[in-house]
Amino acid sequence: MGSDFRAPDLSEGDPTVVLPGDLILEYDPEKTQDRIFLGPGLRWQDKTITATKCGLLRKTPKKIYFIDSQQKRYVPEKRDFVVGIILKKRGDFYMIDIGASMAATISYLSFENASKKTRTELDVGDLIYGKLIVANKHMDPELVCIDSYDRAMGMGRLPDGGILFTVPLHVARLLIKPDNPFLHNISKKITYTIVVGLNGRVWVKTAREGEMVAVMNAILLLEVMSMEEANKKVLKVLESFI
Amino acid sequence: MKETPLSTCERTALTDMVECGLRHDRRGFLEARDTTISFGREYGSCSVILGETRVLAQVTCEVVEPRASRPSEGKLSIAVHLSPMAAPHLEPGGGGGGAEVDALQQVLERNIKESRCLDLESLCIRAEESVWQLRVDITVLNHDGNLCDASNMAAVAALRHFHRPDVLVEEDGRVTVLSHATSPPVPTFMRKVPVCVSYALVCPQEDKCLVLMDPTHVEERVMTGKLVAGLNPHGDITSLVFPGRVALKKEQIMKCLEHAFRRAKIIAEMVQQAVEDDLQTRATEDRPSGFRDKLVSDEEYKRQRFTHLMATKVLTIPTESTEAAVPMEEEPSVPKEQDPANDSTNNELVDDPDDLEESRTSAVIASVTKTSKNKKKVKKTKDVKMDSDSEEEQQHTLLTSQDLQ
Repeated sequence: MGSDFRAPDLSEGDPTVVLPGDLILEYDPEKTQDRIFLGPGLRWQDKTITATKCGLLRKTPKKIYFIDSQQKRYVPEKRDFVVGIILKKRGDFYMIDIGASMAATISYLSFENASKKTRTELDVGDLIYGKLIVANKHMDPELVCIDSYDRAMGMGRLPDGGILFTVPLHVARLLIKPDNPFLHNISKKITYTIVVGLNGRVWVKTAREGEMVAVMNAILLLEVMSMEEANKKVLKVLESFI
Repeated sequence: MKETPLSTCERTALTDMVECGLRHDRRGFLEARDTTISFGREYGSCSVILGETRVLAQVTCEVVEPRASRPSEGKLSIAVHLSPMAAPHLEPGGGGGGAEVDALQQVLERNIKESRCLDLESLCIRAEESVWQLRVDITVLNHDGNLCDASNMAAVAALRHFHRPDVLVEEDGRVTVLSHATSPPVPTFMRKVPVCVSYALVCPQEDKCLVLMDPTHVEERVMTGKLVAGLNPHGDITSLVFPGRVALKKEQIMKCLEHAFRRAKIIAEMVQQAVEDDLQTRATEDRPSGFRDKLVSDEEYKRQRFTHLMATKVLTIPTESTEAAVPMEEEPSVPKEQDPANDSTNNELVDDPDDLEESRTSAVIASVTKTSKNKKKVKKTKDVKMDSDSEEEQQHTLLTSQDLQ
């Protein structure tokens, strides 16, 4: 195993294809001061990082490593922003469906300005946008709607109205890529609010129903077209829908 | 795996949009999705793609002993298989997939078996000794709503396409099944083409009910009720299932049925055409290519749809471009509630005295709300069939006159 170790080139913009079991990097937190973050598809064990999925290995400037693969099924990962549906109340927790194999929980105290007296009331079927803080193999995932400074930062219950639809996970990641002009292109035509969960759920709200359908269909384009093609065609699609 | 719960947002978004006259895929209310029928390499294997719903039907045959009560009739059995491949919330394990399979199977049996569109006597080899048993296996490959229509279409096309091997009956009564190579196979004889048409009933308000044809999975989850009509273009209704807590006016049901008959005509022609075309190309080719050249991937299909939408650049797909589309002239009038006084077709349809009609409407509504009692449903089916016989005649005349225009 050690002899054929060949760390993939992690320079930006040129991702390498990795297969499950491939060694990515040797990392020992006791020896180095560098702190790195592992995203979906990577596992740290015996001081080495190995791939658990096949796909493209990517690295963000903030040292988050993850494997970009095409799948529809969501596997919870710590620090992911997700859109969930409230299933039921259970004591001090709400059970939330985030599209994973297990339902996630959220304490009613993990909302902005929440206390034992002023608790946020959520109904079954409401949508919630939050961040995963616990995502382990054998535990229920847990969500929060506040950051480490107790601020909501856009998280919390999503307002009434709008439309929810599901896209494959790689499309969701593509949408929120900072250098992606796609959502910006849509906004040239339509004013809209969008919430993208990394679990593939996308929520869009506009003033008119027709526009919501247009934005929804434009985003669904990304599933079958490359980014460049979609960017070229997005305005045409929107025009044809409105 | 449990089915993803339906959020309030999805529910309200869909009903609000339907109220504004919009569907998520920009179809008209009475517009069906694109339909593709393709045949496999063997006789009697047929795949139907209805939007993103995919269904595969395969007909097989074997020689069995006939029932004692009907010694000169062949047998026909229909089995539906819903697996987690179709949708992740479905339970694995063959036919025992719960209520959805049962309901589907019941509709198909009524449409295909009990309507007696297939001549079972032609399947007899030797009375009281051996008959053919045809078995239709329907596998749902992807579930995106309206399984009834898709599986009915696939089953009927597969049955029409099917050829059973020829048999040789010797003097001492032994039956030899001949292979396709030694003697040409015998086609099945089907008199009529049963068609199934589903409508989703979405009620944005208590007293308002909108009718959507060919519902997708999301629409099926949001709808309050459903109307599944099994019929054939010759004017017979073979089944009518109307589950859900919704009350419809008689005119609305009649409108739906009228539309369903028009749709049935189109589907029946399409099925017949597809079968004939395939059998013709099969006769010329020595080795049919089967599904290899005909099936498209989901991605390719979606891509085509978007390119098509962009090319047409109109709100709805025009009728001539999709073979399965429905004539549009009725579209604005049907989904909305009808005022019987202004509508000439309605007046023509209803020739009973008013009081009788009223009592019948209430009876229909009463029997409709009871979803669990199947007996009631069957009873109702027969009622409708009986009292709509004369009306169907009229519809035929109406229909042809409209077609001529």
